[in-house]
Amino acid sequence: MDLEIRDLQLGLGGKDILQGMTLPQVSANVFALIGPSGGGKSTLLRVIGGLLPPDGGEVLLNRERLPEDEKSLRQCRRKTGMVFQNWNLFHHLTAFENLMLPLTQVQGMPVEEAEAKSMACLERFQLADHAHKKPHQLSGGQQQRVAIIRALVIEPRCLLLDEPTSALDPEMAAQVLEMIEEVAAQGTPVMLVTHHLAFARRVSDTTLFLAEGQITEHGPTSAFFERPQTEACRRFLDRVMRM
Amino acid sequence: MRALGLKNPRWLPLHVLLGVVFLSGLCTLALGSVSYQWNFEAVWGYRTKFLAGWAVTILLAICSLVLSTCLGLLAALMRRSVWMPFRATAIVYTELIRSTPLLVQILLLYYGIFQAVGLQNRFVAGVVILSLFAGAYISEIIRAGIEGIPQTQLESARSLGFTPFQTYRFVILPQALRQILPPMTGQFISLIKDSSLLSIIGVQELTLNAREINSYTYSTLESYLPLALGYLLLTLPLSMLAHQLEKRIGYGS
Repeated sequence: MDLEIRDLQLGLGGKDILQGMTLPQVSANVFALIGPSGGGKSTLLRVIGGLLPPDGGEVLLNRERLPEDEKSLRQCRRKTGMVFQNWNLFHHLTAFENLMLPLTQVQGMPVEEAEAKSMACLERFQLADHAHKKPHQLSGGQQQRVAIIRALVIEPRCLLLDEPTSALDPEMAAQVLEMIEEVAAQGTPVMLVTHHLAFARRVSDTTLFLAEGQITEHGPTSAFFERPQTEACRRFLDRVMRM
Repeated sequence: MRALGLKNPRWLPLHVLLGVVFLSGLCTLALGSVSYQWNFEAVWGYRTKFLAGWAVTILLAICSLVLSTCLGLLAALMRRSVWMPFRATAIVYTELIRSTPLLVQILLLYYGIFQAVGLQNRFVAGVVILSLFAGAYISEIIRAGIEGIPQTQLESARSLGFTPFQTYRFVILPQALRQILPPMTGQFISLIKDSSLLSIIGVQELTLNAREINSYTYSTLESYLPLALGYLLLTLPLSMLAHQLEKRIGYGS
C-alpha cells in the first residue's frame, strides 16, 4: 500500500489537530502509527478511513486522492476495514449477524454467499462456536476479534486499526495481536495505531511517528527503532520502551 | 419487583391481597358511617352501556397509540434533523403540548380549531387530540432512546459505509426500541386514563357512559366503582408488563 500526505489540515471543536501534516510517498504492507497521546494518530487514521473529511490538503492512498464529498467518502469506507478501541460490534446482533449485516445491506452480497463467507471467516479464526452469541456474551478479546473479522470479511483494500487492544487485559490483547499478525502475514495491508511498541516493531515494515499534528519522523521500522533521528522521538521511545 | 419493594417475588400475591383487604376495610368503615343504600339492580340494567363505553375507550386508546407513536417518531426525527425549521417546529410542538393541561387542549382544539375546519366526528376528534397530546411525550421518549445509543455504535455503522437511513433502520431503531418499550408502556397506561377527559366533548367512552348511568339511576357509587374497575382491568396488566420489560432491558451488561 502506498501512502502520501500533502499539507493535511484538520481542526476539531476549534482545536487544530492536524497542522499541515506531510509525508512523501511511502510504500509498506504494515504501517505502524506511534507517538504521544493527542498527537493526531487516531485523527489521521479516521481521515484515511474516510470518516473525517479534512479542512485542507490531501491524502493519496495507492496514488489515488481521497475524495471530499460525503457520497464518495462513503464508497471509500465500504472498501476500508476499520476497528476502534472498543464497542465496535452492534449490541443487538449476534457475532454472525454482525458480519452479515454489512455484507448483505452495504456490499449487496446475496444472502447465501454472505452466510457461507461469514461462517468460513469465523471458522478460520476459531470463533465459529461463538457465532450465535451476542457481544455481551463474548469476552472483550473475542469481541475485538469478531470486529476484525467483520472488517476483513468485506475483503477491504486495507485494514485500519485504532488501538484495538488498549481496552483489553494483557492476555486478551495478546490473542488479538496474534490475529493481527496473522492477517498482516497473509498480505492484507494494515495501518495500526498502537501503544504496544514491541508489537509495532515486530509486525510493521514502516513506522510513522506523530507528535503535535505532524509526522515528525518516519522510516523503515527496524531503522526507526534502532536509530531514531529526532530528539523528541528518542525521548518518547526511551520513556515507553523502559516500561 | 424491586419497584414494589419486595425482596421475594413469591410473596407478591399475599401482599396484593393484604393491600386490597386493608383498603376495602377502610372504605367499608368510611361508607358505613354515612349509611349508604346500595342499589346495584338499577345499574345492572345498564350493563351493556358500560360495555359499549369500555369498548370505545379501548378503541380510542389503541387508535391514539398508533397515531401518537407515528407523531412521536416524526417529532423525534424532526428534532434531530439538520434542518433548523424542522427542529424548531418539533421543539415548539412538544413544549406547547407538555406545558398546557390536556383539558385545555381538548376544549381549544375541539371548540376552536375542529369546529372551524368542520371536523364533526367526536370519536375522530378525540383520537386526534389524544394523539397530539401523547405524541409530544412519546417524541421525548423516542429521543431519549435514540440519544442513549453510544456514539461508538454510530461510528461503527458509518465506518462500515452505512447510509444515514441504513444506520437508523438497522442500528439506531432496533437498539432504541429496547430502551423505549418500558416507558412507552407507561405512556399507553396514561393514554387510557387520559381518554376519560374526552367525556367533556361528548365522546361516548366509559366515563361519559358511567356519568349518564349515574344520572339515570341516581346510584353514584354503583356507577363509578365499575368505572374505576373498567380502567383498572386495562391498566394493571399493562403496568405488570412494563415491570417485566424493565427487567429485561439492557444487554446483560
